[in-house]
Amino acid sequence: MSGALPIGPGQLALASGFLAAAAGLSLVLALGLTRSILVAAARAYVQLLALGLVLRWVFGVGTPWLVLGILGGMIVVAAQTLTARLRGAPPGLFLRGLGALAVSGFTVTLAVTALVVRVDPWWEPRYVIPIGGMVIGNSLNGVAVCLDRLFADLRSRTREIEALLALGATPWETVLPSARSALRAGLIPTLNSMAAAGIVFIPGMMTGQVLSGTDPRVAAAYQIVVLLMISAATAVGSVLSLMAGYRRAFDREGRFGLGDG
Amino acid sequence: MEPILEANGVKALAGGTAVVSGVELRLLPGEIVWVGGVSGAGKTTVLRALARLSPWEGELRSQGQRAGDVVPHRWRAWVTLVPFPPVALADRVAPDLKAPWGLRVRREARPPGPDTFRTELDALGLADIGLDRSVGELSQGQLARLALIRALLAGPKVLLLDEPDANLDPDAAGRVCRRVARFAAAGGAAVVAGHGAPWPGVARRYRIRDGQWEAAG
Repeated sequence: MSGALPIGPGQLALASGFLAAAAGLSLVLALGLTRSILVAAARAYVQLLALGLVLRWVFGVGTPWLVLGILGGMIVVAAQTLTARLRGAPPGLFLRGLGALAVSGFTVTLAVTALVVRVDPWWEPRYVIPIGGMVIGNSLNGVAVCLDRLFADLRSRTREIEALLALGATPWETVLPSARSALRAGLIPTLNSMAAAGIVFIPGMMTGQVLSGTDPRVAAAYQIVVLLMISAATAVGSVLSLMAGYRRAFDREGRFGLGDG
Repeated sequence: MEPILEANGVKALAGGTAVVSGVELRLLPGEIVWVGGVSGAGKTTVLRALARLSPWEGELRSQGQRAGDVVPHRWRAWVTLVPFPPVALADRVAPDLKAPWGLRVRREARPPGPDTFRTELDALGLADIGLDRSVGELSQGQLARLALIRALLAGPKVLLLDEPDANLDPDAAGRVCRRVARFAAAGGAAVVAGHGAPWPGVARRYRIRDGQWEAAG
């Protein structure tokens, strides 16, 4: 088989017709979403076509530094997204989030491409970039849920934490119960999607591979690897961000700083 | 005798500004001192500073060691604040009393057992509270005594008691006072903050007025 059937400008325009239907519906029902629909669609067009061009260029250049640089760029953007998503969290989480995402993103991505899929060369952009994107994106979601839950839970336990500190607890000892529930919250969506994969939905990567003509059995094997590595990356990223981030709720004397007083 | 807790020119801070200045304290083993002042005068802030739970400036020492030379969690195991309002640390009475013993700072010591818990509860007028009683069912006054027992049994050198007899009837308040006196007689010491009449037998009284700590006899 020779890959997916190409989609030309005419077909893209035709697909946009469906979107016009959604925008029309919004207008008729006064949903107030028309503008958002059009802007979102325009962004999807521009961003994805640009991505296509960039990837095509990257695939042609053939240097590991470019591939590593792109992975690094994705991690920086993910860390920025993370800090923007964490409302009510203490400041100074960007570098810690960046560190956690970098470790989980690089390790898991390169472990999968180099050890499991064994691409040659190890930095082959056709594999490393899409897999890295999935790893980093999913880690980001896990880490964001985990840290968000951590700080919300700590804040709700302010008096208990102070009482424990007063009895000689270290900050980590007071954080432990919240850390457990935060990790659980961060990991559950990934576990659910592993459990439902193939029955409730066909995962995105497998869909893409099947459309492009890959043998469904091969696509299934890739999808399994991807799901496993996503959960590994989420777990590693969440644990690291927790270990690096919880201290931000305390000062150097180990005093709790998220409470009101 | 060496003071068990000493404060020289300590400022207790909150939100970056001094709430109470000029805290001077030389607490010897066996002593209970009283800190008075109207609500909002800063009594809690001073107790929290002495426990190193609030920011402070000046000189703090315990048993000859400067605060800066003792890691905060060890200091707080020595100089233990019993906060007001009281807080539960577990669902049931016995696990709540055991909570301090799950902490690393006490891993070398042997935790007290159910007999000790029973004796302490009885002594503070909680004879009808079973060890497996749900902590959520306790009144504020009962919870306050539970928190006091928890702190006493955890083996501190100094207890910092914030309104220990609020919500207590005279009989229970008397029991709390006598129990703390026994703790002091055994070589401990206590700083008690309240806005009622000082406990009988306190070694010294202090007062906080207009952000200043002063001796009151």
